[in-house]
Amino acid sequence: MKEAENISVYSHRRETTIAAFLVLVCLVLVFFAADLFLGSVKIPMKDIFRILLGMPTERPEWVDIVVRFRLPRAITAVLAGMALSASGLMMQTVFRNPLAGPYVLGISAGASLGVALLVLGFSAFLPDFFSTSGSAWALAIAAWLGSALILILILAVSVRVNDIMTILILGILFGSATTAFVSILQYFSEAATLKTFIVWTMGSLGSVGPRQLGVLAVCVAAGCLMALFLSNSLNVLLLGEPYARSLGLNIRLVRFLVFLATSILAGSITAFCGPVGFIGVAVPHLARMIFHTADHRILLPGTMLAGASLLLVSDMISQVPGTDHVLPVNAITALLGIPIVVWVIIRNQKTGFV
Amino acid sequence: MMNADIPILEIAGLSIGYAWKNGVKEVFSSITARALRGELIALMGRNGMGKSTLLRCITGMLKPLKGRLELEGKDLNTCPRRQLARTIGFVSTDPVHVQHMKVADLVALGRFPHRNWMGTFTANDRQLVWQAIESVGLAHLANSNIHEISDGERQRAMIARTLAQDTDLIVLDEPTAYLDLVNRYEIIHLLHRLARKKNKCIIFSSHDWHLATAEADLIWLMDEAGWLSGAPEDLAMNGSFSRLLGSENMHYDARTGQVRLKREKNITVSVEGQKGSVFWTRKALERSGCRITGRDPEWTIKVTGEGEGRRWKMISGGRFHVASSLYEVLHYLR
Repeated sequence: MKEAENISVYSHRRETTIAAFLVLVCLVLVFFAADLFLGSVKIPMKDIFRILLGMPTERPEWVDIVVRFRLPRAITAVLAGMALSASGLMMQTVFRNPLAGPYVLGISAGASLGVALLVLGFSAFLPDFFSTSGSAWALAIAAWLGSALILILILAVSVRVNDIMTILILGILFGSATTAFVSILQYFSEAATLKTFIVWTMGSLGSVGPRQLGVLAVCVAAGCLMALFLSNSLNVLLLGEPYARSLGLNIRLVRFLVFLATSILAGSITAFCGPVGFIGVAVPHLARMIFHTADHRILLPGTMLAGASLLLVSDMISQVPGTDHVLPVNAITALLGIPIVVWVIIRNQKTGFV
Repeated sequence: MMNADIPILEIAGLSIGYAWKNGVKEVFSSITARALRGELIALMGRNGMGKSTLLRCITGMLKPLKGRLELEGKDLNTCPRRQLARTIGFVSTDPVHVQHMKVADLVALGRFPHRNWMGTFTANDRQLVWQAIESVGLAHLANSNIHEISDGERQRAMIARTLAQDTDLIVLDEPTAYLDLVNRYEIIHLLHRLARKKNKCIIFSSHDWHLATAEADLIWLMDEAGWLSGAPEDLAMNGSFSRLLGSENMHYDARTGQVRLKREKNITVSVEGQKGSVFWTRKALERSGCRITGRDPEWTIKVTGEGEGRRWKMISGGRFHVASSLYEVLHYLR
């Protein structure tokens, strides 16, 4: 009995795990504060805290900058980082592929189809539309509908097809077909509308206003809860489907729920921020490295925290501290994420993951 | 012993194969068998006879084409998923490669079908996982990563997982496939011990005829002639092994229980000398296709001396040769 207590089942050492979680939480808080602090207008840290606590500051316009712009932006970074990396982890487990990410199911392609149809297809009828405040909502809804279309296709396939590789291939094919359709739309569109679309594909954390933030937060919370609820099933899926089935797992149901959670998470982020790449592929590997475990009950929350911190850092870099320029966040996440992915590929030559 | 005489698994008139919309492909038919607790059963047959297909049917992953498949007296295919997972443990040929998964984590997954939807891990679960790890002899590796241990140790871990699953029936598809000779014996011996000690019924498929006949209580044989079942010796006596192990180039010697490659040389040899030396000399000569005889041999071989000084004097008519090893003897005769 004594030895039985010594092997903690799911045998990570409890103290190191707790320590790692504490460090990650601190990192998120520090980066969050730093993200509020950085920007084209210099606001002292002291005043930022005063604004957050609702106290008066020297200059009233600072309140506006922090509450209407910087705060939603930082919160969006946290939500997007959590959502994308959690869905990336789920996809890597379900497809048993270290290079899977939130977009392998074709969700971003679907979203871009929705946006392309709206921006490139209907802009001729609504010439002044994209200068109005409703445009952010319209883009989000179009992206949502587009990714929902792909999601429905994938889910319909996943309940009929047994083989997970077939689903992966079909997902990639649906995505490619959608992209092809989008490129036709691009070809026939005018330069001005084309730019609106291209800017959307570069991703932006800044276009989410306080009101949209509420919707986004609800979606991300729902998706993350679903993911956490699925963590035991995901652990079983790590062994591969024959074993998962022999352990009594309802594979099609679990797969359906995982795809649904992924679509809610990645779909809503893509809807509001555009496709933000590589966070979802890279961060789960970081989390595995930090926690040294395959247990999703640890990995999922760990991945969410790591994703939030990495996207906060990306956001800070994208604002190019000390200048007025804002770079597309998609470029920064790629530049940060790709080295991690390269490292994973090279290391896996030795250990042979999946 | 609980339910000692009620078979855990009963198969009657079973046909296995694959069904599509426009037809069926029957792989094997008329399987009738029963499996008791406490028994180690080896499923044997040539490649393509349908061993894996049968195991997939037994584990409920594939529906049989026709016939009865009963688990503890109840139809296996209407058995709820979780109930099935609490009764049958399965180890397939798929290797499991997961980074950062410890042996204890892997074994703990065996408790999955016993847990509630929250997946709470009780002290009892912990205890069972530890016992499972101990009984396959992996206690010292409980906290090692599964991709850092050897193939044999990983196979043990997979077996421990089914022990933690606490099922009365364990099914293994070629559990010795990637293992070296010592590990093969160790694994099958472990299965034998577990079947007896924990009163489980363990069914494994194998091509390792020697190993299966040495350890199994019952052999299920899938053969061109049909389904056969019996103790290894029953099958040896009724000539079934001769069919299983016979081909153009090899045959099963029912008298000695050995498998031999057929090599026709038709050189007749007689061997004289000390008992131990003669035994191995005859074995070597038989292997290379010579016929051992006492009357009018072509060659007479006399073995003299011991250890380093051992010599083989080969005489045939006017020819004479002294060899210092069996290799040299065979080389000279070639």
